[in-house]
Amino acid sequence: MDVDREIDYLVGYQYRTLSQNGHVIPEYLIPCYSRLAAIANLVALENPTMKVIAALLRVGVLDEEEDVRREALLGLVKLNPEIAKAALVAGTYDADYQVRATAIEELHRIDPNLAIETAQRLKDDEDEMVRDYAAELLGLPYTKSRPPGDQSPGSKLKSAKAD
Amino acid sequence: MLLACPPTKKNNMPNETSGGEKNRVIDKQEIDNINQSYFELTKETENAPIFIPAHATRQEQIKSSGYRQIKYKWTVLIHGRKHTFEARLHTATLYAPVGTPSNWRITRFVHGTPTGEAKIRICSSRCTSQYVGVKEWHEAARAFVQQTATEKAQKNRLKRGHFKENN
Repeated sequence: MDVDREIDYLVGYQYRTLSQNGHVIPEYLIPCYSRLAAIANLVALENPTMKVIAALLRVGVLDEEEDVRREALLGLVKLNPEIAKAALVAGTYDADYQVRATAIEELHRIDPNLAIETAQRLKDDEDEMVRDYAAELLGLPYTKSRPPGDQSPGSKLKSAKAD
Repeated sequence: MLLACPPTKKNNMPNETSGGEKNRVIDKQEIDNINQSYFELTKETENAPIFIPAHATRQEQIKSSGYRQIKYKWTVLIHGRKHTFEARLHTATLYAPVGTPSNWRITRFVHGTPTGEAKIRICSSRCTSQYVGVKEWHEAARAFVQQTATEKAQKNRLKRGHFKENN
């Protein structure tokens, strides 16, 4: 495998071309799947170099596709958990809930104390999945579904506490 | 005509307004706009391969490659475990051939807990209405874009996981 080329695919300097798509996947999603493939290839390396880790760090924060950011974070955890911690904390600030959920879960796996510290902020997250996970990390009651029309960030948690 | 407007939800779905104000007063023009918005959203979701409830949140993004992504998300309790469903509608890019359909992709997340089961993220497959694990999904996509997909099943999985609109 040509590592530099995979990195280029990942950061968008080069694009994979498909000679035969046959309407299997929409054309416009090919770049996204190509970056996901590059992540899988790079994570499979036995001895990843610093540039591989740097490329994953870059897309873990900057890629426009949430699936790519999420997979990059998971890849970093596999390759270098110590460096991944910083990326995971950054991931807990991500605009997308699935990236935040992945970040807090992985953080809990590799550094429970840091995860608990981060959970203090995420316990009021707008997403139920993230909020529940953070609440449980902090030993708070499991949250309940919000009544229709309630969009305050901590409303579920408050209703659960009230019970 | 002035009417009291109920508290809003996040998603601009039926009978809702954006902005987050509670019990504010709206006029007839605004009601007409809401009704129009209701009509458009109903039209948008009517061809979805999964029922999208009215309380789903809606988020719209324009990607740099030119397509629009509209993401609906909702959470339900199934057998005592919370499941979050995500329905993404991808419109064709501006430069796509005329008639290129939009695509739906459905993802299901089974919530995990720090002390309980691990979170499982699963993608859908249309032919069987079953969900395929994210690892299998990504593996199929990886093999396909690298043109090493030898299994017909992998191609079928990808094809069936992207639901063409109006099917």
